[in-house]
Amino acid sequence: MRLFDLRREETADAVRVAATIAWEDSDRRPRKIWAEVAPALGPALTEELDGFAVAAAVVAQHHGERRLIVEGTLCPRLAEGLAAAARLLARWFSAALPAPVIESSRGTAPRFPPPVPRAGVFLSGGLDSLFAVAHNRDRYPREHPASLRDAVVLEGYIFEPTDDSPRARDYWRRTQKATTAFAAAADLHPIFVRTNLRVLEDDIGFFCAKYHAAMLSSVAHLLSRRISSATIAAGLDAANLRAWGSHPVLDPLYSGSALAVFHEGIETPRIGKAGRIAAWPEALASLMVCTRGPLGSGSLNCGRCEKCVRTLAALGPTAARAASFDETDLTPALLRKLSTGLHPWAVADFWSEIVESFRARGQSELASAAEELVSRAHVADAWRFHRGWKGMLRRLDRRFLGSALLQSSRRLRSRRSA
Amino acid sequence: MRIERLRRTRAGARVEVGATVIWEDSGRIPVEIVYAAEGEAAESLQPDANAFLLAAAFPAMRHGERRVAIDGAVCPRLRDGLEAAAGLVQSWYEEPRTLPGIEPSEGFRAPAPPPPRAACFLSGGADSLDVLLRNRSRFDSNHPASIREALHVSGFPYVHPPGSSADRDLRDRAARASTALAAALEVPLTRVDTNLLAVESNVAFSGREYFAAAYASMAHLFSSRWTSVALASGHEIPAMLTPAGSHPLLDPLFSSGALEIRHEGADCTRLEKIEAIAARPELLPRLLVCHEGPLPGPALNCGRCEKCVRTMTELAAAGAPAGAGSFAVELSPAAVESAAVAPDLEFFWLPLVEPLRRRGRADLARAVERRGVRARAVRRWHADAGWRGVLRRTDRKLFGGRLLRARRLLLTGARP
Repeated sequence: MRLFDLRREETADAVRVAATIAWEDSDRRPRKIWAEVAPALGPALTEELDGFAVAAAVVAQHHGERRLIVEGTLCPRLAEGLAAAARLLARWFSAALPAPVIESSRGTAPRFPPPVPRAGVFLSGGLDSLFAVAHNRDRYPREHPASLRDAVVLEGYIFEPTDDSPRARDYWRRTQKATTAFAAAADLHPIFVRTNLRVLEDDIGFFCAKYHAAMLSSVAHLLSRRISSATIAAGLDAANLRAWGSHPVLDPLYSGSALAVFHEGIETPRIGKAGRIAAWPEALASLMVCTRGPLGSGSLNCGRCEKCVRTLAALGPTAARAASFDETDLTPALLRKLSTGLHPWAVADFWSEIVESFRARGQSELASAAEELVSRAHVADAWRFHRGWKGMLRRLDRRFLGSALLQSSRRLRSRRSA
Repeated sequence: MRIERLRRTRAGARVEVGATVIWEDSGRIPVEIVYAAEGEAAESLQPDANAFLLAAAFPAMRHGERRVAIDGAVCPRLRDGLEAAAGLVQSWYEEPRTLPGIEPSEGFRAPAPPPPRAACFLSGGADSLDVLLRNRSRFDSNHPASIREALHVSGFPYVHPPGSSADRDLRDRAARASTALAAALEVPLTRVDTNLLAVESNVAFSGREYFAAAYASMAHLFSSRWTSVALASGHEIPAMLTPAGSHPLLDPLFSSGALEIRHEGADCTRLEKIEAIAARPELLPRLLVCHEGPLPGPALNCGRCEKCVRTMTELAAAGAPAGAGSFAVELSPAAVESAAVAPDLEFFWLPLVEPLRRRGRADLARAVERRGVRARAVRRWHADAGWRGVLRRTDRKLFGGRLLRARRLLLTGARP
C-alpha cells in the first residue's frame, strides 16, 4: 500500500487534511482519506502523514498488503510501534495475515510535541469516556499537564460521515448534544472532527477487533500540533482483557515522539464507572450509550437495547431515572428478550458484574434473568468460536462436508417450525 | 503494613534514602528499606512515598496485609495503576489478589513533573543496551525523548545467595559493564544499591509479578529529575508475550503524574537487538549477559551457560567477528548442542538457523537445528504428548509412576 499526496484543503466551513492510499497487492481502487475540523481549529492539524499511516497500516494488513510505504517521513517511534502493532495483531488473530513492512520514502524524523503539554481525550458520550474524564478530574488539579483540556468528538466513527440516513443523522445530533453539554460541565474544549477513515473497510468485525483504536489514534496524530497526549477510554477492565482493537498493549504502540496514546481505565469495572457517573449529575444527564434510532423523543437513549439496559442496570434505579433514557424500568421479561449481539463474550462479562449488583440491591428476579442472559451469551460465544463437542462437529462438517450437515439441520428445523 | 520514617541522609558522594516497613497482619519482622545512590543524579534522590509504596505494595498483597499506610502523599494515578496491576496478575495466574487499602498520611495528590528529561535503566545486558542504542539513533539530544541519563541497579533481584562470592562477583561485573557502556555512549550514569530483598526475597515471586514494580520504585526516587524512565523488555511481541513481573501491560501501570515508566523493546526480536549491538563492535567487550559466577578470569561472561552460548551464536548470526565480546571461551558447534535445553527459550534459537547459513556458519546452523529436535522432544515430554505421553499418564494414574521409576532404575542402575 502507498500512502501519499498529503494536502490541506480549506473551505468556509472546514479545514481538511487529506491523503491518498493506493493498493499494491490487493485489487482495490485508490481512496482519498481525510479528516476535517472547523476553520478556527485549522492550526491544530498536522502536515505529516503519521496520522493517516496508523489507520492505513492496520487496513493494509487486513487486506494482505506486504508493505505500507509512506511517501514522506515518518516518526521513528511511530514506525516501530506500527510494526509491533501489526505483529501483535497477527499474533492475536491470524498468522496468515503477516505484518506489513512499514517504510517511509524519506526515512524517519522525530516529531516534537507542542511546547506546552496539552492532554486530550476521545469523547463519545458513553460510559467509558465520561468516566475517563471524571477520573482524570479526580486525579489531577486543573493546572497539571495531565489534566484533560480537549475533548475530541468524531463524526464518522459509528456511521460514515456521508451517511444521510435518519438513523445516522439522529445519532450525530444526539452525540453533539450530549458531548457539548458534558464538555461544558467538565470544562473541556470540544473538538469536532469529521473523518472518512471508516470507509477504508466497512466490516464491523474488523472495526471492533482490530481497528477502532487505530482510527482514534490516527485522528489524535492529525491533531498533534495542539495535543501532546490522547486518552482512549478502556472498554474492558484488567481482569477481563482479551485480544481487541483497543487494548492497553496495543493502543500505546500507536504513540509517536510528539504524541502519547494512553489507554485509561482498566482498573475500574463497568459497575464502578457507572457509580462514578451516577454521582455527577451533569455527566449523568449527558450519558449517551445508544446507537439505535432515530429516537423521536428528544432523549439520548432508547432504554430498550442491550447496551441501554446494561447501562440502566449498572446505574441503578435512582440514577437511571435522572439520566436521559426513553424507558428506565427494568423487568425480567425485558432482560430475557435481550440479544447477545455480535460479541457475546462482552455481554457475558458485563452482565456477570450486574448479576452481583442486582443481588446486592435485593432484586433477585432481575438477578436470575441476568444470569440467564449470561448463560445464553456463553452458549452463543461457544457457538461462535466452535467450542465443545458441537463446535468440533461443526468444524469437521465445514472441513470435510462443506457444511452439508449444518444446512440439512437448518432445513429440517425450518420445515418443522413451518 | 505501615511505611514510616521516610528519610534522606548523605555520606560524601553517596546519598541514601530509606523507610521502615512494619507488617501488621502477616507477623513478619519490621524491615528497613534502603536505597543508596552514587553518580550523576544522586543529589536528586528523594524519599518519595510513591517509590516506597511501589516497593512494598506487591509484597504486602502477597503476605495478606490489609492496608499500606504510608507517610506522605501518593499519586492517584499510581494508586489506580496498582489496582489494575493486581487485577491483571489475578487474571494471569488465576489466583486471588487483593490490593491492600492504600492510606497515605497526606492523601492522594498528583505530583507535577519537572521539565522533560528521559532516562533508562542500564544493566549491562543486551536488552537495556539496545534501548539506549535505538534511542540514540532515533532522537537528537535536543529532543525531549532523548535518553539523557542511565540508572544501574545493584542488589535486586538476585541470582546467587546475597553476600556470597558469586553474588559479589556478578554485582561487580554488572557494575563494570554498565559503567563501561555508559562511558562509551557518553550517558551519565547513576548507580543505586538497594536491599529490597529484605522486603521480598522470593525469586519466583519477583519474576512472576514484582520485578517491574521494584524497578519502578527506584525510578520514582528520581521523579523530581526525570519525567520518563525506560525499562528494557525481555519479551518479543511477535513470538512471546507471556505473563511476567515485567510486561508491556504491567510496567506502564507504575507511572505517576510526574513520571512515565516505559516498557521498551518488546517490538524487537532478540536477534534484531543483537544485530543493532553487533553494529557497534566497540561495545561488545563491555556487554554482560551471563549470570553465572564467580568467574575466575577477567572476562565478563562465562561463555558456557545457555545464555552465553546463545548470545555468542546470535552475534555470529549478526555477523560479529569471531571472538567478539568478553566471553571466557570461544563458540563451537559442540557448545551449541550441549548447552542446556529449555523449551521455553527455543524461540530465541530457531530464528538463528537461516542467518547463520547466510553468514557461512552452516556448522552452527546444523547444531542449532539439532538443539531444536531435542527441544521438541523435551516439550513433548513435558506435555505428555504422543503414545509415550499416554503411557506416562496411564502409569501415573494407575501405578503412581512406578513404571517410569522402574525403567529409570533399569537404564541407570540408580536407586529411585
